[in-house]
Amino acid sequence: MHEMSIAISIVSTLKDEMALHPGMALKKVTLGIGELSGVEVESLRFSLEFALAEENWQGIEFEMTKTPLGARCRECGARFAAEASDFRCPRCGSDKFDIEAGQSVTIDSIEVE
Amino acid sequence: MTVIKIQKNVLSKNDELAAELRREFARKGVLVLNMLSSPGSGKTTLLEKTARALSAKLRLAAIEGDLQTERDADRIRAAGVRAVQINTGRGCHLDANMISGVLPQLDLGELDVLFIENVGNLVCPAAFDLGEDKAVLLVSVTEGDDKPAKYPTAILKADLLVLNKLDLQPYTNFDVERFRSDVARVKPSLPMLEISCTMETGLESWFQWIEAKFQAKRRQPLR
Repeated sequence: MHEMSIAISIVSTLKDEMALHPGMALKKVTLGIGELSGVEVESLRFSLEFALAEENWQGIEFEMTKTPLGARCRECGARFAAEASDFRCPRCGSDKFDIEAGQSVTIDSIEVE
Repeated sequence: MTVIKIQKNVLSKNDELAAELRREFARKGVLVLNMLSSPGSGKTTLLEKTARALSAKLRLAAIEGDLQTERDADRIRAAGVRAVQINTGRGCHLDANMISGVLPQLDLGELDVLFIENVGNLVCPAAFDLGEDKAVLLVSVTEGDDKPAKYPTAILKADLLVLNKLDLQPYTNFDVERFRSDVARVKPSLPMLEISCTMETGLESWFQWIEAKFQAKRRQPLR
């Protein structure tokens, strides 16, 4: 539901980034979509079309990959996929952990020419 | 073709602004609570009761987020507390920029506790940091006991879970134990209060929680 604000933020970040590469054209963007970011990939694609049209940007390919909910155990330091391991550390069984990834949308890389 | 690694959180602009807000709230010693829930869980009613009960002890204000109307802000004002309404139009959440935009209407130096009543929605508000100290998740028994399993992000974000409308539980199939175990599966450390705003039960523990968090905030050195 908040895909439109995400799409606008993506385009604004891309604009900042492209300002660092004058004369280059943006061809491809790789996004990491957190498993628990609450973002629907299809809805984000739809919103991106509008946000890009606003900037008169065309022909940019978006690759979206799922980022699992990555956690780090506070007891033993192990890193694990929180949802897949039922929110428990698979090494020591602790339920105290910090989420390190998978709750947000990231721009991982861009391709320019 | 050149590949450029960026590794940037899309909401990093929001997060940076939220961090600025958090520093400003800390300088002024204001406890800020981000209230999350579905529509109709009783956020505004809880704030009305809180305003009436705590106004004599603490200087309170509220920022009300809704798609449209001033109705919630009007209700809070009628309870004797300063309230600012943000209308998000079609927006499904508040973001740090909106909070920053209305702060000039509130004199933070004259406040102890600021409630931010987010737009009723369990998905999007969880993604946007508003610079709050604590996120309070309100769930009512009429919504069903499956909400923690369906919306783990809201549970992960929450620092306190308040279960409301317990007076209606006999008329629903809400299973408090199942609810509790689903919550514990995602965040075992999350404290939970059981209340009924209508019957005014359990509210005392909610008021005590606010006062304790406020005292803790004031003990932190002002930066």
